[in-house]
Amino acid sequence: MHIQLLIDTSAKYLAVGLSKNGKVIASTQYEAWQKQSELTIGEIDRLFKITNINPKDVTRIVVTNGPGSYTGIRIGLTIAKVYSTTRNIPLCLVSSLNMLSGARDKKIALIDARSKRAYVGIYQDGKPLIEDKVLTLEEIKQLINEYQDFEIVGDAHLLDKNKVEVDIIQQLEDLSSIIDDVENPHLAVPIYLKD
Amino acid sequence: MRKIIIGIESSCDETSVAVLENDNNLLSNIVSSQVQIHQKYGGVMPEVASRIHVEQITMVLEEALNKANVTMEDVSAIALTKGPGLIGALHVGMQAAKTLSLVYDIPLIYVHHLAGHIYANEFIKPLQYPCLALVVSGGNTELVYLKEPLSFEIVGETRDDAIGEAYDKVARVLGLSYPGGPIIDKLANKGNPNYNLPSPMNDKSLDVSYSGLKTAVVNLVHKLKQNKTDIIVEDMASSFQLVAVNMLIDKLLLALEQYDVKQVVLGGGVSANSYLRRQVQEKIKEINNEIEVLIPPLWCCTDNAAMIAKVGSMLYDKKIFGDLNDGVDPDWRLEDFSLL
Ligand SMILES: [Zn+2]
Repeated sequence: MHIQLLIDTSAKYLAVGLSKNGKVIASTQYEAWQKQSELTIGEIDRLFKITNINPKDVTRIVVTNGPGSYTGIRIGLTIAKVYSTTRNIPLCLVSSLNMLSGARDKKIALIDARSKRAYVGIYQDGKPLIEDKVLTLEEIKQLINEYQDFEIVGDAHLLDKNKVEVDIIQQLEDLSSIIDDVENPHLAVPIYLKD
Repeated sequence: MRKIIIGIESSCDETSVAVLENDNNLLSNIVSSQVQIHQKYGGVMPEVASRIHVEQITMVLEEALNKANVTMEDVSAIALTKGPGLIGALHVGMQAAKTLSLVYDIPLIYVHHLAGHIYANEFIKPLQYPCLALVVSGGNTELVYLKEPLSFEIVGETRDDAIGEAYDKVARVLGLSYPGGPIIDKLANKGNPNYNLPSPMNDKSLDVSYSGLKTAVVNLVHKLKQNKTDIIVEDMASSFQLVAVNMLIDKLLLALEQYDVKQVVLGGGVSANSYLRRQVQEKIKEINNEIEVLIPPLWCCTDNAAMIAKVGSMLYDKKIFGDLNDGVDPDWRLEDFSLL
């Protein structure tokens, strides 16, 4: 039996889920700005209880490691690293821009980086076409000219488009089958992109 | 039954995990210090500290378990520093501890960092009550009265900077490296207190203040530089240390007039200071030979997880466990950690 624990606390959401043999069996996602430190483990505990799964039965951890909120990223990643290294199970890191893009179609993912800047990633079927980066909104407008038929997801309101919300845990589950595990979970680090 | 407590400490710039067996048998105490990284900034950078904690925590945990030759299955409870400290740094230890508590179904124990510094002394000798504790570090300067075990009353504290901060500032103005405490102590022992510095607070309270002394040193150094007068660094260090430490000693002696205690205990990074260690012992002996002075060994003056495990072990016996949905508390008052 393959049981994955999926975690994203890299932005304002607290999203955690459990999947069994490729299917999400329990998940939660809500806005918990600056409350992730208090609530995340409690939510994971709750998922274990409602699914009757023992925490020791988890076989793989999937977590976003940024970019996004520095504190938020560290919360999810610390949980994932400690879980993975003490249980000796694989760790799969997913860029939060990749998570927003999901595993299908052509996507431009945006995350607000404040001061008229944003983190941007361009993905096709879950694979990056450029490296994730942080750019000014003006630079982003230039950049995406080449990608006219791509859908903008995430903080699209920064470019005066409608904000697009995603099912975080489902997207992480979809991506988890096409993204490799890290070689050494001890060495997993957040992606901040800014200094 | 074998009681195994894991301690986790990440409140400032040390990532530390300890494994403690049956109250007093320290099986391991791994400390990964970031001091060299913060040295180039001349002080602890909170965001940098948080980043390094995330990088280090699992390796430190694994090393602590391996060295202690225990597995997570043997562990009775996880004790961690909930505060006070740097919020981002505390988060990392908190998440690590919560994860272990969840996965291995063992209780969490929230420990106050300063209680850890006080009880670090029990690795040498048990505390006897009532006692007075002087906790001095980069972030704290507190005089604490303990009527009973784990009952804390702050009877005096700094009104502005912690003593350790003052040391760091003076070191910077003298062009010395961070942290300032050990280097000023070393230089002071080679110099004489020939510079005249004011002793800022002389009221009847048990509080101290370091901003005045700090400013006096800064102004004096600037004046000497302007006059192109050579500064004898050893003498400046000695003059500063004399005032800084004696201010503490005066308040400690004043407190001993008001509180009848069996012991005086030191704790915190600045309790490694050689002049402070000497003065406390000498002065207390002069006034009352009956009072025992406990000074922690150098290895547990600075931040470490052994002291957190130590307090955790006491709380474990009383079954005082933490809630999985609690957060860190960067400004936690020691009094609010009291059992009474
Ligand atoms: Zn400390």
